[in-house]
Amino acid sequence: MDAFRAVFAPALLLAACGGGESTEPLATAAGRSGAMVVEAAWALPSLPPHTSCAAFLTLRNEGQEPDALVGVAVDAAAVAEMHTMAVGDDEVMRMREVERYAVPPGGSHALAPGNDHLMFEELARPWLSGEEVTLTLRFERAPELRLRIPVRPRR
Amino acid sequence: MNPLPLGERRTRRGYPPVVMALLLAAACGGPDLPEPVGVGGDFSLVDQRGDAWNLADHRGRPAVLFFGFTSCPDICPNTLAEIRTVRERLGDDADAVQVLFVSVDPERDTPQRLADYLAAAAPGAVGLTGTAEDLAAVARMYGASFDRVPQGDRGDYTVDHSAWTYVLDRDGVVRFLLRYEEGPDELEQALRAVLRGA
Repeated sequence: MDAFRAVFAPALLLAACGGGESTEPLATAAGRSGAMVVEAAWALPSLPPHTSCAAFLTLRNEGQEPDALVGVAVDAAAVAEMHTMAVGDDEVMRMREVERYAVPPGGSHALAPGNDHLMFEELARPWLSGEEVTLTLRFERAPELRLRIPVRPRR
Repeated sequence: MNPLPLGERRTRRGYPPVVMALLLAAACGGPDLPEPVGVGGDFSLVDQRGDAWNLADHRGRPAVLFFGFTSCPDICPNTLAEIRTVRERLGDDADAVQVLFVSVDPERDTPQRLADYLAAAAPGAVGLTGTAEDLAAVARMYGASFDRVPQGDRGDYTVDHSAWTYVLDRDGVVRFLLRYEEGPDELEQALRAVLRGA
């Protein structure tokens, strides 16, 4: 399908899992489906007991019509959810599942550490730095997009 | 409910408490340690080996303490990663600082689970858990809160919780209170201050 195009930036990772600060650029993946562009996509490594994990990406709508991310799946976990997350003025961290991330025409929605994230549970295996997982993203308007994203430490 | 509205401190003062404390310490040229924050105190919980752990038994060592849970996808691993970064910066002094991870998820965070998690995320850290009542009492004492929130339709839940990081001096007194948005630099300054402090 012509809408399917995925680019994967080769990982420049320290071999050590969760190692110290690196000056190398951190790997991310990008792809496009119709007018929806997905950028800066990556996942955190899981930690014992390896029950949950998070991934981040930026959604950009280059089209003339509103669109939204309405479904997520991943090859390495049974459960994939869209979450909002914020630390409030009262310094309480609150996380909630949502059904969609809306992206207006010409607009974007960024998922990032300390902010919204994709959350995965019932992992099929530990997610280790240097590996990849494959996301399937379903949009309201744009065709479905499959994207391989790197698993790597946050810094 | 929290006995102290910690979240309102910034609005009133304009600065997070740690910044104010450091500014005051610098301006006065006085002792390194700011006045006690006014929350905290001794407590007794269970560590990741299943043994009783009392803060009062660990006088003489400064500590960094925060509340979290092992299923927390982002905030807790990030705080632990920042603490790890700061420990690397402290070099030989790092071992003088205790890292205390207090669970807000007694239902899932057994001592064994804390042990596995911390061995990977924060080697050397002390993981503390207990009954829901015990943990709520500690949180209350520290002006923190946590709340179990059902999530989705699989019987799953998440835990809303305070993201404060506490820096305790050698006597177990909270001297600095850091917000989540404050990074390794602020934590490093606070830890160096309690390490220097008498």
